[in-house]
Amino acid sequence: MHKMFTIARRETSAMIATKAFLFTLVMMPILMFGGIFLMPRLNRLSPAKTQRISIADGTGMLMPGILAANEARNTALRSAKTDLRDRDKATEAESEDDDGEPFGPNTDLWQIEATLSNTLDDGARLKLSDEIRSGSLYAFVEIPPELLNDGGSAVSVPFVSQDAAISSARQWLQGIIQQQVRSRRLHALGLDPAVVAKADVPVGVNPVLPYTRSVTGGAETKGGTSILVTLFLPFGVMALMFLVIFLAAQPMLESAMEEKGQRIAEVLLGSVSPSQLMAGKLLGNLTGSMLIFVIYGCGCWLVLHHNHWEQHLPWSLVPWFIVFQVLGVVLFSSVFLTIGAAISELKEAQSLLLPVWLLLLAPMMVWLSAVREPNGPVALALSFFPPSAPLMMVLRLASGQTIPVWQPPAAAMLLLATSAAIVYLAGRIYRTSLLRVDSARSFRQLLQRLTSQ
Amino acid sequence: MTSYVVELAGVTKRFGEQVAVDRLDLQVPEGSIHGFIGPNGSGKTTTLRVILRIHQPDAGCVRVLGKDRSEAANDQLGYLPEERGLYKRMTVRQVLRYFAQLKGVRRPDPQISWWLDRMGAREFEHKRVEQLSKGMAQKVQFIAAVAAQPRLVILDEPFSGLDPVSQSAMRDVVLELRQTGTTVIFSTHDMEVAQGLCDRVLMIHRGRKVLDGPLDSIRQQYGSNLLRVRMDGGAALPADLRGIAECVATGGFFDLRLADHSCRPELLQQLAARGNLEHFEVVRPSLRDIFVRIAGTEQTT
Repeated sequence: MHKMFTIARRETSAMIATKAFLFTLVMMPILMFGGIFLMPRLNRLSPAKTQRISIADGTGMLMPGILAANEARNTALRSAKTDLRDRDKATEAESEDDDGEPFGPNTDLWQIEATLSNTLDDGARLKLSDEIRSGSLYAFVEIPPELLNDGGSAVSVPFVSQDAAISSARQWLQGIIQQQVRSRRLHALGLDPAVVAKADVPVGVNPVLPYTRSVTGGAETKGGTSILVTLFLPFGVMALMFLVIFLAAQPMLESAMEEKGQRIAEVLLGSVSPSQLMAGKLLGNLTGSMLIFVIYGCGCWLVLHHNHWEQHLPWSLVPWFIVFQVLGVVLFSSVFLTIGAAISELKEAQSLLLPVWLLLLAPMMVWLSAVREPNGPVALALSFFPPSAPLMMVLRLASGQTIPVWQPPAAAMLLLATSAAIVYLAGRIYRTSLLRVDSARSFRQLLQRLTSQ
Repeated sequence: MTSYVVELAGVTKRFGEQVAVDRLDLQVPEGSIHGFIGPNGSGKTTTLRVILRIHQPDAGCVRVLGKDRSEAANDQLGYLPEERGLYKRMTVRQVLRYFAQLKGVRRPDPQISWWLDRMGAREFEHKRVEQLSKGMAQKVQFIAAVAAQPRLVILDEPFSGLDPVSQSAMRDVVLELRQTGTTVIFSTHDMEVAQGLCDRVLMIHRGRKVLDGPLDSIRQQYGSNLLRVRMDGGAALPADLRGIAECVATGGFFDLRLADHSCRPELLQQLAARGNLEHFEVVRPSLRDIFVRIAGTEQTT
């Protein structure tokens, strides 16, 4: 046991005390989640612009309303920007205008103007398009004369710009024009738009989590939830599991390759048995992975706490997370260790590693459907398929939906049995591979080593 | 009664179709320096690995330091492999401490310090292994093999990569180890080194033992029928000499191999009777000569 712990200690130290590990530890979450948090901040770096929009109002009646709405928007926007500068808290300072459009310090202003003529011919369209391409004009809009006609048939309004499909100006104008047209149609029908607006006040059907019994005996709920929390919290938990397994398994490959390539294995095997060596390495690796879990776990909690999302995390998930993490790390680390011992160069590992990665990543390919249907056949099958079980089971548990109580322990037992079998088989291949100078380039060659001496 | 630290009986080790070690019997007495000699690929390293239990034999028995069970004696074994096996990113002291701890030594620092001083490597103790020269790395590897004060030290080609001064220093250390009662087994394909250091030799050729025993008796055994003679003024040998199996002329001398060593007095009488004998020497053959002769015989059979 003393020797095993000695090996484990060195392995943990070799795993975590490298620049590459620390770099990966920092960069991996940034690469995976950084976009979510960084994009809004990066967007704020680009300065706000005043965008020119020309409108050809074929009806001749809508333009005053549009200009008034735009003036109101610009006034509100300038006011909001002043507030933001005063508070200097960009992350918390986003506000919304009356139309629900989020205002930030880099939200563009619209400078709306009428075209010379209310209708456009091809020559005018080409001229305005050239202005768009040259950058002097952001967009032009053609409101067709028949827009206000009776009949209710759908009439479309062309919005022409280089980013028309994703333009927020298009979305804003759509709302304003819709509002104007609706108001005029109501007038035409003899209805008071203010009365109709009252009748149209929306009814919210809000997502609320199931109630539980409180300490006082009453019913209480954690409160409302959101799509962001429902979908991305389970994904985050699964991604955390992936990160831990990835960061733990990769050093095993490199460690075995180093010991084989540098002929250190020969010295080690003169002191300890292959099984002691492998057990020590796995134990050290597991210790390192727990450290990663603690570091990332603390980081995740801080993010959840900062956003007041911690109430949405099912804390009963934590013990299961640790169980599946330990089993997942043992399973994948022993496979990586074996592959490392069976090859001589990193490039030879690719063909062997690809199927292993695919098995591990399978839950990430179906995570959306698994979160929507955590008890569906795909999620169920993957959570009982040992290589994908760690990621899929924590995803299901984090979804907040009820998972049959027998399933997590059953999947864990199956994973435990598989891990034990893999460790045993990997140990045999590891022992026979360490001192060989040739490489196993396929799983068939790898398995042949099970029977060689 | 002689006690043996290593006993092999009928040990065979195959790798696929290739027989690396073939029915090898061996006994290594305690406190001796035992040389394993033979050309590259003859099976020396495989035999050492079988003794270390790195390889399990396909047939035969292995008993090391009185223990049959695999790995049971490993803590009392020190091993210097042919190729250096050190973690490049660890410092010299870290790597030595690690290997000593794997031999069961809880606090190895005093021994490590002593050996670093003895090998003149103290100034390198905080350097990373990757910063060492090949010769210095060899010294560190040697310290790793002996720092845990093992009863049996196995050295695979210990002098390769060392300059003559370092070779001589290493040779002295090996002799000191024997004086403290440590048994040393080392392999080499350099017959001169083996001849200058060994009490006993095991010669392996194509996986089979072709020679085993005390060096003196082997040289005596193979040298009693070898003579070197010179006639007065480098004259030719008389043509009618009896009992000579082979005669090779080398620079005025004649190396004679007798058909039977009992012919020696008779031959001396024959040459003396001619009255013109200038030099008469009973030659003790070098290990190299013995090996070449045995390997040559094996080649023809």
